[in-house]
Parts: sequence; C-alpha cells; structure tokens
Amino acid sequence: MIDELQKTIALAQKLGGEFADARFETQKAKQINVVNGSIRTFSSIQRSGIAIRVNYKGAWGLASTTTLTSDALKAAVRNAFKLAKTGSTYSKEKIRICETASLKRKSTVKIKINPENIDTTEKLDFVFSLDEAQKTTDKRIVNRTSYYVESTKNFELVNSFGSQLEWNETRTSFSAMSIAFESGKRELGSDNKGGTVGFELIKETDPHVFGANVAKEAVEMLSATKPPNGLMTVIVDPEIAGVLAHEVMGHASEADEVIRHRSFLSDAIGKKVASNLVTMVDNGTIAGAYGSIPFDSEGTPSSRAVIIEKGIYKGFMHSLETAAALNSAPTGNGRAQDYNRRVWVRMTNTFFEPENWKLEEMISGTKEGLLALKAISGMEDPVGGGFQVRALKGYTIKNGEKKDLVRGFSLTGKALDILKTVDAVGKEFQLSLGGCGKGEEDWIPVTTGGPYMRAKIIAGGE
Amino acid sequence: MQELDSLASLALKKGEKKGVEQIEAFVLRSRIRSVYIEGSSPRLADDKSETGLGLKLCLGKRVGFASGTLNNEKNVEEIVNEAVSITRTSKEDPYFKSLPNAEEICGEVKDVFCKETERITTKEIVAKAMGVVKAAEKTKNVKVPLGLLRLANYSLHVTNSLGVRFDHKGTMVFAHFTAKATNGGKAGEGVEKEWSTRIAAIDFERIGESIAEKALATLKAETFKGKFKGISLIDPVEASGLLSVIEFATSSEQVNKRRSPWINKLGAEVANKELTVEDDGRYLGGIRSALADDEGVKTSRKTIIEKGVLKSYIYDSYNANIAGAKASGNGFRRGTRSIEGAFTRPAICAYSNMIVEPGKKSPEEIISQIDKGVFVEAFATPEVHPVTGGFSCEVRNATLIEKGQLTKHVKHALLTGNMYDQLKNVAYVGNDVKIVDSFVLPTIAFEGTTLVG
Repeated sequence: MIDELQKTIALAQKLGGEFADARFETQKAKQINVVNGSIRTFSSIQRSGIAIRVNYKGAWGLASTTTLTSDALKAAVRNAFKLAKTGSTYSKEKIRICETASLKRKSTVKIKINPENIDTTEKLDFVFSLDEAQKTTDKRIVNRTSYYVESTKNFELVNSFGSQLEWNETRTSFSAMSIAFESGKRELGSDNKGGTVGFELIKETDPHVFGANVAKEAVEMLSATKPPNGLMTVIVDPEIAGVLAHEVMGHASEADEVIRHRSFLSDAIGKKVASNLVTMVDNGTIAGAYGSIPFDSEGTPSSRAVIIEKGIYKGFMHSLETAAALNSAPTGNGRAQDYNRRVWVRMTNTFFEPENWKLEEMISGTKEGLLALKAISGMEDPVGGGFQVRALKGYTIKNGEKKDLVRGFSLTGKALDILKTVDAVGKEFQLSLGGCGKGEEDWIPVTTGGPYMRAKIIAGGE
Repeated sequence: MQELDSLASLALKKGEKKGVEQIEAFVLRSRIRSVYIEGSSPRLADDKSETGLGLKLCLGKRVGFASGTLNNEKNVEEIVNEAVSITRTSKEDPYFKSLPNAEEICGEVKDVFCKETERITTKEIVAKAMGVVKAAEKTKNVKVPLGLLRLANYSLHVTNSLGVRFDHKGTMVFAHFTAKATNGGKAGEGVEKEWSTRIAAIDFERIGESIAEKALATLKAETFKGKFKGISLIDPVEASGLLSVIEFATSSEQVNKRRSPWINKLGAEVANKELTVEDDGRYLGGIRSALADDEGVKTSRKTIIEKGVLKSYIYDSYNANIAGAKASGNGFRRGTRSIEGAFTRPAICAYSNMIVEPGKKSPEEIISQIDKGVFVEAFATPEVHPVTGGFSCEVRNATLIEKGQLTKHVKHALLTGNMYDQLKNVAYVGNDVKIVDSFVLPTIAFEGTTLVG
C-alpha cells in the first residue's frame, strides 16, 4: 500500500497542499464475553481504511474511505484538498507544521506470544475460569461478567516530508466484574489488566485468584457504610492519582487546548503549580504499557514528556501542528482513534512519579481522613481545572488507623489547590489501563497512574 | 461495489453453504461530514465513507459474530469464513434460542431521513458552524475555542435466514459547541449540544447566544461552600445522564443477568406519580427512529413507567427469548452521535427513544415554586452507578434558587444522592422537551439531593 500512499501525497502536493499525510490502517480484534457461566459474545472485527489529510492556507481537509482502489484514493485526495480550501476561506492565519526529518522505518511490536497463534479453546478456558472463580467464592455473587480482548493494528504512513513508516501495535487485556446482593443491596467489585503485550499476559495470570479477588471485593462492599462528606485529608491510591494526572493536568497540558485558550495551564510554564513532591510525565515509550505507541498517528516517535518536575510546570504535549505553533519539539502525542477519525493531541501513559513514603506511614500520620480506593470514572476540565473522580470504595482514617469501609463517593476540588497540598507521595507505583475520549468521543488506549498520594480534597457520597 | 441487499444476500448464501443453521447479516454504508471550529474559525473539515458487514452465525446453540469493512467483494467471503471459524470453536450458549422471525412491518416513520441534510454542501456546513461563532462572539469577552458540527447519512440493510428483510435510510446531525468568557485571569465555559435528523431544525444563532450566556454565568460563579439538602432542578442534557439508570434497570439484558435492581418489580412503584416514561421507536425526528430495530424487529410505542409504576421492560430478540416475551424492537447497534463502525457490534438491548412525558409547568414556573434549591446547567459528567444508583456529580455551572428566584451562580460542588431513591422523589417535570442522544426529555427536579461544597 506504501506505493499507493506515495501517489496520494504526490497528488496532494500537485493540487497545492502545503502539507499532506496518508495513513493506512488494518485492525484485527477478538473479544470473548462470558456472563454467569455462559458465553454472551464471541466476536471478531477486521477493518481497514485510509485517512488522507491535506493542509492548505490555514485549514485541514480530511478524507477517509474504506474503498481501497487507486481511483477511490485519488478521489479522496481531491476531496481532502477541496475540504481544506473551503475551510481556508475563513482562516485568519496559515497553519505551520513542525518540519521533521524524513523517517523511513519499519517497527514490529515486541511481544512474546502472538494471541493469533493461540488456540481458541485456551482463550475460552481462561475467561470461563475467571467466571467460575467468582461464582465459587461466595453465594451472594448474583452476576459475573468476564472479558478477554486481543487486538492488532498495522499502520503504514507516508507524509510530504518524505517519511515512510510501517509499524504495528498489539494489545491484550482481560477484566472481571462481580455483583453481590444481600438484603436488597447490590454492590460490585471489578478489576482489569492489560498492555501492549501478547498472550503471555494470560499465561502469567491465575484466573482463579484474579476472579476470586473481584468477587471478594463485591461481597466486602455489602457491609460498607456511608462515606464522610466535606473537605478533608484524603490518601488516594495509584488509580485515583492517575485520574488526577490524566483528566485535569493531562488534558490541560495537551497543546491544542493551550492554543485554543482552553487550558487553565496556558501560562503555567516555569511556575510552581504543586508541592515539591509532585513530578508528572506522559511517557509513550514504556515497554508493555497499554498506552505505549512506537509512533503517533502523524509518524512522530513517542517520547517521555515531562509536565511537572518537583512542583514546577515544565511543558505541554504536542502534535506536529502545536509544536510549530508554540516553537517546541513534537512529542509524539498526535493520535487518532482509527482511520476515520481526526488527529488530536492525546496522552499515552500519564502518571505521577513515585517518591519514598510507605502507605502505612501515610495512614499513621493522618489524624482524621479518608483512604480513597479504585477509580470508577473521572472527567476532564481543561478550562476550569476542576477535578472529579468517582471512587469505588474507601476507608475512614481515625487517629492514624484505617477504620470503616465506606461506599463509593466522589472527590472534587480545584486540581492546583489539591496538588499544592500534597504532603506525602508513596513508593508503590501502578499504571491502570483505560480508554480516553476527547470531547466525549475519539477513544484511544491509555494508562494512568502513580503512587499513593496524600492531599486535602473535598469528598462527597451517599 | 454492489447494493447493500445483494451484499447481505451473498453473505447469507455463503454462510448457508458452510452448513450454518441460522445467519443474520447487517450491512451499513455511511457518509459522515464534520466541521471542527478551533480558535473561532474552521480548522478541519472531514468527509468519511465506510461500508461494513456484521455477521451473526448460529450452529445449534453456538453463536459467533464477525464483522469487517467491505473494501472489495472478497471481504464478504473472508468475514463469512471468520464467523464460521469462531462459531465452530465457541462454546454453547444455553440461553440462545433463535434469531428473530420474519414479521410484517407496516406503518410509517417520519423525519428520519432528510434530503436537505444529505445534500448540503461542505461550504454550507462550514457557514452554519460559523453562524454559531458569530452569534456567540457578539458578546464582549466571549470566544468560541471549540465546536463541532457533524452530519451523517446512511443506509442499512438487515436480513436473516428466517426471512427478516429490512432497509432503512437515515440522517443525523450532532452539534457540540463551547464558548469561553474571560475577565482578567478568570475564565468560564458554556457548552451546548444539539441532536436532530434535520439540519434545518437546528437554530445555530440560538446555540451561539446560549453558549455565550452560559460562559458568562460560569465566569461569575463562585465556589460553593457548605452543604444543603433540597430540590435540584436539572437541565435536560444533564438529566439524561442521571435517568440512564432507567435504561439499565429496564433492560431485559440486565434483568436476565440479575444486574438490575428492578427484577420482579413489574407492577411495583419504582418512581413517584410525576414520572411517566415510554419507549417510542417511531418518535417524530428521533435519532434512532425507524420502522424496525437493527435486528429487523418492528418498533412501536410502549409504556415503561406509568405514573411511577413499572409496566414493562425492553427486549431485544435474545433476551426476549430467555424471558419468554416478545422482542420489543429494542436491539440496536446504531449510535446517536455518529454512525461509523455500527456494523462491528452485534445488536444489544437499548432504548430506541426514551420519552419522558413532559409536565405542565415551564422551568421558570418551577423555579418560582422552589423555596430552596439549585438549578444545575452543567455537571462535569452526569454519571450514576447503574447497579447501586449512587451518584456524586461535580457541578460545573449552577444557580442557587432562593424563595422562587435564581440568585447566586456556583460551581466546584458535588450533587449527591441515589438515583433509584430520587426517582421516588421527582418534584417537578418541566414542559420543555429536548432530544438528547436516545432520550426525549424535559427539565426535571428531584427532592432530597445534597449539594456539598
């Protein structure tokens, strides 16, 4: 397909495009879902298509098609150019693109066991074992849901700087969720695991232990009580720390939000935004992490972008366009969901770096507060810098001791107020996988994480 | 490329040759065009075409699903082969009985396909999006940093080996615009979202004026401090997220799998008498309205909650067979903001259009009757835990209500409660109606929520 892509770029340039790239993607995925001991879905997806972008006088045109004939590609280039030209009638300024060296590379993902080479029976047995483990743990478990997902994407990319790249990404993941019921009350437990890894993830996991732990959590939650409300000392676990890193500080550090004046961190570079204990990065190069990518959707190699270093705000994440606009280097954060979605500045693996505290020391040093565990959801607020995360559960802390288990609650406040009050950062470190949307769509695989952290945060729940 | 029905027939023939007992093909062809506003001007315009096939095969109680894009006709055979391979190696699903049977689909559904929306040029789409910018930026210190206007037109064909044959053509429009107001170092954001099947039904000038007004209100908002329990009046866009628990609790998938808290509650009071909810697959201009669902089962209007009493669950064919009920035209793959990729997933049990029956009072009249409360126009995300009903949503833009008057703008607070309990404490239902995703609902007020600062 590379030759066809080259031809589209040549045509885009001939038409007058100032910059153009063409990306061909094929996707293969398999998913198994077992609910309450029976298979609910066993599905396979194979998609492929091309996205062609052309930049002309301050506007982009993007055309995408799943018809892969030469004629269809030519029509798509002409269309992309026409779309850019239409948009450019309103443009006040030219879009500059950060000119990169012409890269010619082929990169193959390093996985130990290709899931495609594994017999289906083994995959089914794993998911059924997850299910069985939940069932046999406690009679109060009324619903079990278990998933296995494998996916491989192959990319070919050509741009008008002369780059010619081929790479692939493989991800394998699984999850389990139990619902416990007693005396009219329903509670849940859940967990997942995954990465840019192959079937070795499954071989290295004991589904009986994993499933049983999820079920135990759901049952344990039946005895949880009402959480406390108000501003208090909260120790957040790595998952919740990760939501703060990703949803608030991360989204506001995406340079396209900065350029659009939608980031509360627009003028933050060089300023003190957090306590000295806080260092935060986005790192797309971590081997095996779910959000890692060899190249972004513009062909820039992924990198480690430092966002906060010892409390000082350092910089943003960039695409080719934002790097040129802000006179920075591209960081490999221009990502698109797939061939029929646009590129935005997006995160990869975003987290707070660990320090030296043990969790026990943080708890014993807290007179009254809350230990917040497991993030269920969170929401971005790049404009206002507001933080919201929903925790699955928590424990009250009284006189330095972990006390009562409490039901799910939310944590909120202004991110910078919270980060300035961070007075303890743990040594245990964990990344959690998930999907990140921008504007409630365009979902991409990421991880978020960090260590346990202690700060002043508003908590609320019923 | 062939027509959708012949691609589907080809898939059925190839599947039947391989010896499968039942087979269902869903073929979708879509064209989606969007304009993204960034920094008050159109930064990107796109035009995306996709054709894809989703295939469900059944061998006894073994069921497999494979899907793929149709880049060429050879892909049909590849998808059939993949589906056969999956089905043969899968385990039996003891609950699976059959794909839906053919039935007569009659009647009509209006306002689901709009020629003007299909034919509008990109130049006109850009001009409409810029109409929002112009209207918003009439207000001093307000800019439109981000906006999206997306139009989709699509054709789908669903067929199965039991004689189901259904074609549908639709259009959908989704607008999502954001304004930012600034004053010194302070900033406030206003957001509007609109859904329609017709471009002409969207008032772009009104969106621009509204986001400017909301951005200014958020700019003035102060951090809420303290705590009070009272009435919360919720804007329809945000209320749709809170009422999503009704979709969860009445989905036969969740009932059959024992996740729903409303198992065995047919005939019981699950809400107070202020609340009546229907599902109407043929609602005029509804985003998912069609004569049949995505399994080819005919749609209808049915009462789900009548004056607080649970009357019915919703059923796709799989879950209807388990429950011994009739499929209610609630098997969907189509999204409500865009259509691409809908062929990659099997149909799941979902509302066509959830209609919350409007009340008699306008939001203004409701406000005038509230002694102490809060009017929430924007949450960070209106999320409720569907299993437990627990919610604690961050308020991004709200106004306190005191003695029948809107008073102070507030933000950075949590509104907390349990939505299954709140449904029994619906205080008011407005007479304003808005299409929000697959919901058609008014402003709604709940008694007994807690606002925590």
